[in-house]
Amino acid sequence: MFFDTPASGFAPLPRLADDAGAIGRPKVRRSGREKVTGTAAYTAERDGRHSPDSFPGLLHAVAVPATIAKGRVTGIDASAAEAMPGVRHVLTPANSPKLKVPEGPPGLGFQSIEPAGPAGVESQEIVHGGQYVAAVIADTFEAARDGALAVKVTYEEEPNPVIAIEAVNGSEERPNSLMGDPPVMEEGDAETAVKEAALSVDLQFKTDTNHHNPIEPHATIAAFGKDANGSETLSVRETTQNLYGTRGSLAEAFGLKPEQVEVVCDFVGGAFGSKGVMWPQALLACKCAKLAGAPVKLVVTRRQMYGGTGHRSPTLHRVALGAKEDGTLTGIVHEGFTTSSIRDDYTDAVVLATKILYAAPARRLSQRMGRLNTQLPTFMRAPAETPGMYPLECAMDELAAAAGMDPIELRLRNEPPKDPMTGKPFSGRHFVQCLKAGADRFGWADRPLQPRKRKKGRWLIGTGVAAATYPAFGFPTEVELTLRANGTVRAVCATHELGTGTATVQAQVAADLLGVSAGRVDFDLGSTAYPKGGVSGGSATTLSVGSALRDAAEKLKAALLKHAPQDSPLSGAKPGDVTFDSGKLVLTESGKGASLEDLLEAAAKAELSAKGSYAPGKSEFSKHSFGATFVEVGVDEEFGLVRVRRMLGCYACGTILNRKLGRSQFLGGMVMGIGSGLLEVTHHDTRLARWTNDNLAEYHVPVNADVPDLDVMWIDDPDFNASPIGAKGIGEIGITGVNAALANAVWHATGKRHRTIPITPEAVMA
Amino acid sequence: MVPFTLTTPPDAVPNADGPTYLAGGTTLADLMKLNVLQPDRVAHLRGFQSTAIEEIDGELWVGAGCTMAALADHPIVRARLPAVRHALILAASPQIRNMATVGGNLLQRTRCPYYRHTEFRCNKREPGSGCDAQEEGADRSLMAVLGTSERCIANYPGDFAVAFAALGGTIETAHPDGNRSISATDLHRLPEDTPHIETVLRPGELISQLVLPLSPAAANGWYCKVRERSSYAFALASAAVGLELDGDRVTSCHIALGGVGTKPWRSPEAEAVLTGQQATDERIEAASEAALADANPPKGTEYKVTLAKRTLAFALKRLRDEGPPDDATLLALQHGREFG
Repeated sequence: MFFDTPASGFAPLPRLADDAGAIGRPKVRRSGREKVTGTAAYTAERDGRHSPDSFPGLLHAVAVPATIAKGRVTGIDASAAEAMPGVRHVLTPANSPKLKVPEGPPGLGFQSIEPAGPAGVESQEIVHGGQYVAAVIADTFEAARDGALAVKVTYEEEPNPVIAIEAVNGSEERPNSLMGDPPVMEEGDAETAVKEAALSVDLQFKTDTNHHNPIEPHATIAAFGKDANGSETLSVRETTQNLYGTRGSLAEAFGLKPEQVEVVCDFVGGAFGSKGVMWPQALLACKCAKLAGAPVKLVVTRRQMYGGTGHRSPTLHRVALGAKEDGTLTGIVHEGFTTSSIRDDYTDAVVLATKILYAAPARRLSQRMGRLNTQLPTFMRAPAETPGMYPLECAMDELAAAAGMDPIELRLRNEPPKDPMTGKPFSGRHFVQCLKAGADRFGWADRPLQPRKRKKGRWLIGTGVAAATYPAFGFPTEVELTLRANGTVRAVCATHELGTGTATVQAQVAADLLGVSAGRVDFDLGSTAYPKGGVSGGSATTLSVGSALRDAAEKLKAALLKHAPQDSPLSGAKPGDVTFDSGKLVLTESGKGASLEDLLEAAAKAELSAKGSYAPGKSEFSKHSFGATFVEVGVDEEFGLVRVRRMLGCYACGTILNRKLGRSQFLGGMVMGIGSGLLEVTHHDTRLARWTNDNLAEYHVPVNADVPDLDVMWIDDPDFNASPIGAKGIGEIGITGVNAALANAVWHATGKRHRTIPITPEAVMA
Repeated sequence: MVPFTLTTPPDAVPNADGPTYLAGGTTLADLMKLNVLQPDRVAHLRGFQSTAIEEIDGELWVGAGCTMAALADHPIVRARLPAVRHALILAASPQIRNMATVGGNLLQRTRCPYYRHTEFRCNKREPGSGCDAQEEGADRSLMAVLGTSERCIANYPGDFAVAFAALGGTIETAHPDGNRSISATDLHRLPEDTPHIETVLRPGELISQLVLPLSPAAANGWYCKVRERSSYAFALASAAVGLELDGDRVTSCHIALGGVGTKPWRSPEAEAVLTGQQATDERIEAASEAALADANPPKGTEYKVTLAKRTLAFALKRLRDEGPPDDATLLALQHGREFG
C-alpha cells in the first residue's frame, strides 16, 4: 500500500502477505473470561484463598507513611499498636532487618531505587511525604490497618519543603542523560534562525503532575523459605511490569542469588508505567516477612499510592519555531524543565520527539531539572512524548495560524526525508499517510481556518489535529518454544500480562511461525521460572517477545532436522531450506516434508524445545511509529467546560498482530489523553509539600460520559526494518497526540490558546 | 479505623447517649477508615428506618432510610419534583446512590482535604487546632465562597440537600426528649466559631422523615450542576431552582446554590429580587448578583463566584423559557454532545 521500505531489514513473515494465518485476527483475549467472571487472581488475591498458591500462616502488613515532607523522625511509639488485638509486630528502624540498597535498572537514570534505599525504614530522614517510616504486622488486614493508625511518630520538621515545579525552575542542573541522549543537543544556530525568521512563535507551556491510578493497587506477598539444600529462598507475588528486574533487586537487597528468588505475577490490573520499577512496599513486605518469620502480604492503599509509588513529573517548556513565509521551518528550539526527587535521578526525557518529527536546518533541544520533596517520578504512558509533544504540537498549530495555513499543510511542508538529527532512514514512517487518511475519514476538508466559526446551542465547536509518535523500543528477551508430540505447542517467557493480551497475541505469532492454528498454542508468562523477559514498558513487549519467538522457531527447525529420519525428504536439509507449513516442516522448494508429530515420533521424543532470544542492538534505521490524532470539542465558555465530541486516531505501527486487541490499545491511550488534557492533575499544598486530592473522587480520570465514540484506523504496513515480526509498539502512541489536539481544538472553538494542561474550567472562563 | 462497638439491629434508638448512626455508610465508613471519625459506638440503622415514600396532604413524606436511587426513581419525584430527581441522578455514582440513604445524604461531610487528612490542622475535625486551608499555598479547589468564617472555609459538597433546601423541605426527627420538625434551611449551621458543630441535631437525634411540599413551583424546577468531569464529580457550582409563573410574572420561586457554600445555600435574597416581578433577563441577573452579594471567596476561588452567578442565571432563564429539562436533555447539558 504505502511501501517505501529500504533495501535491508528482516525478511517478511510469509503468512502476512495473504492474511491466511493467525496474525492480525481479532482473537478474544485469553484471560478475558477469568477477568469478567472475577476468577483471575491478581497479586493481592494470591493468598491461598483465591488461588492455588499456598502461604500457611500468612500475616498482613500495613505501612505507616510519613506525614511530613522534609525533616527527621525523632521517635516512634509503637506501644499502643503492639497492645492491639491481632497485632504481631511493629517494624521500626530499631528492629528492621538490614538490607543492601539495590541498584536500579541501568541506563535509565536511577542511582538507586529511592524508596528502598536510605529513605526506607532504616532511615530517620524524611525527603518526601508518604515515605514509609514503619509497618504493622498482624493476623488480619483490619488489625494491621487499625494498628498502623495507632503508631505514634514524632518528627522534627525542616522548613521549606518543595513540591511546586515553579519553586525550582531556576535550577541549572541537567539530567545525566535523556534515555541515552545528552541533555543538550544542537545542530546549527536555532536561536538565531528563529530570531531572523519571517514567521516565528516563542511560547511557554506547562503540564501538571499526574498519578497513574491503576485500579489494582501495588501489592506484595513475600515468603522466605529453604530449598532442598537448606539455602534460603524468597518467593514473592508482586504487582510488576518487570519480573526479572524485581528478582534482581530483591536478590541484591537480601544477599541471595537470583536463582534463590522467585517472582510471580500472572496479571497486572493496570500499571501505565507505575509498576515498571520496584517500589518500597516490595522491600517493606520482605522485611516484614523476615521479621515475623512468616509470609506477609502488604497492599498499598489508594492514598498511599500518592507518595508510596511514582507519578508523572510536572513539566515546563519553551518551544520556539522559526519559518519562512511558506511555512518551511528554519529553526526549532525546545527547552524542557522536569523534576526528580531529592535523592534519585529519573526524569522524563521530554524533548525527544522534537528530534524526529519535523525537518529543520537548525535545532536546539535541551533539558534542565529541579528536585522536589516528592517520591521519585517515573514512567507514565509515553513518558517523553505525552508531556513533550503537547508544547511542540501546539506551537506548530500556532505557527500555522500565524502563517494562515492549514495545520496539516504546515506539517506536510516539513516532512523530513530521513531522521533529521542522525541522518538514518526511517524504518517506516507513514506520517503523511496518517495525516491524509485520518483527515479524509475525520472530515477535515471543510474546516474553517479561523477560530470561533461554529456553534451548536451553548457549545462552541472546534477541531484540532496533532502528530502522534513513539519509538520502536525492544528489550533483550528470551523465550522457550516447545513442540509436543500431540501436535500442540507451548511457549514460555517471563513477560507480563498487563491486560493488553500478551499471551493471546504471542500465541498468534507462534502459531504462524510454526504453521499451526493459534488454538494449539499455549503461551505462559508471569513467572521468573521462565526465560528472561524485558520490562513490559516502552511499548516493547510485543515486538521483543515476538522477535524472540521468531528466533526460537528458526532454532526449532535445526533441532527437528537433526532428528529427521534418513529416509525423510528432510534428511540432510539445512534450516534455511525448510519452512513450517500447515503442521508440517517442509522443503521450501518442493513442499515435501513431514508432519511435526511424525518427526517427534520418529525421534522418540515427547517434546522438543528450542530457546530463542532477541536483543535490539544497533540499527541502521531510525525506528519509530507515527500517527495523527484528530479531535472535535464543544466548549461552554460561560461555565468553562470542554467536552470531547469525537476523536480519531490514525496510526502506522507496523504489523497489527490482533485487530481487536490492537484497537483497544489505541483506544486506551486516547482515553488517557482526555484525562491528561482536560481532567487529571494532582493537587498539592505548596507550604506543606503534600498531595491533597489523593483519592479517585477528586483525582479525576475520565469516566465513560467523558468519552465519545472513538474512531481508530491504521496504515497496515509491516515494518521489518524495525523488528523481525514487522511490529512496532502500540501501547503508548495513542495518548501522545491527544493533549495538543485537544488544546488546538479548544483554540479553534474559542480563539483562546491554552498553554497549560489540564485545561480547567477556571482557565476557560478566564 | 479505631475499634468500636457495633449494634445491629440498633437497640434503644433514638438514644440520647449518642451512638454514631450508620445508614448507607458511604460517608461514615470512608471517614472512619481515614481515622477522621473515631466513634466508639456505632448503631447500624439498616432495616430499622422507614424507606416508604407517600404523598400526604400535598406533601411527599420520605422515610429517611430510603436510598438516593429509590427516591430518584419514584414516579411522584419524576413527575412533580424534577429538581430533586436531577440532584439525585447527577450525584455520586450509581453504586453509591444504591447504598446511600437520603437521611444520611443530608449529613454528608465536606470533601475539604484538610478535614480528610488527620495530619493537617482543621478546626472542624479538631476544634481550635487551626485551619491549614487558609494558609498560604493551600489547595482551595474545594472551598466555599459563601458562609465562610475565619475558622473554616470548607464547602458542603452534596447535591440533594441543595434541592431539598431550595424547595422548602423539612425533616422530622426522633429523640427521647421529644420529636420535632426542622426546616432544611435550619438543619445545617454556619461554621462561624464552631465549625465542628455542623447541624442543629442534638446528640442521638435521628432524622426519621424528609418532607417535601408538592407545590407548583417545585413541579416547575430543575437542578443545574456544573462540574469539570461529566459524571461522578462534585459540583463546582450548582443551582436548584423552581418557579411559579403567572404569564411572565413570578408568583413564587425557590433558589438554592450548591458547590459554593459552607452549607446548602438557599438564597432568600435572590428569591426576593424575583418574587412578584417579571422574570426578565435583567431581573434574573440581578437575582444572581443578590445570591452572591455576600460572597467572600478565599484566594484562588474567585472564579467560582462568577461561575455560581452564571449557573444560577442560566438555570432560571432556561426554566423560564423551556421548563424543566427531561433526563436526556439534562445529560446532554452535562456531556456537550447529542445522544443516539
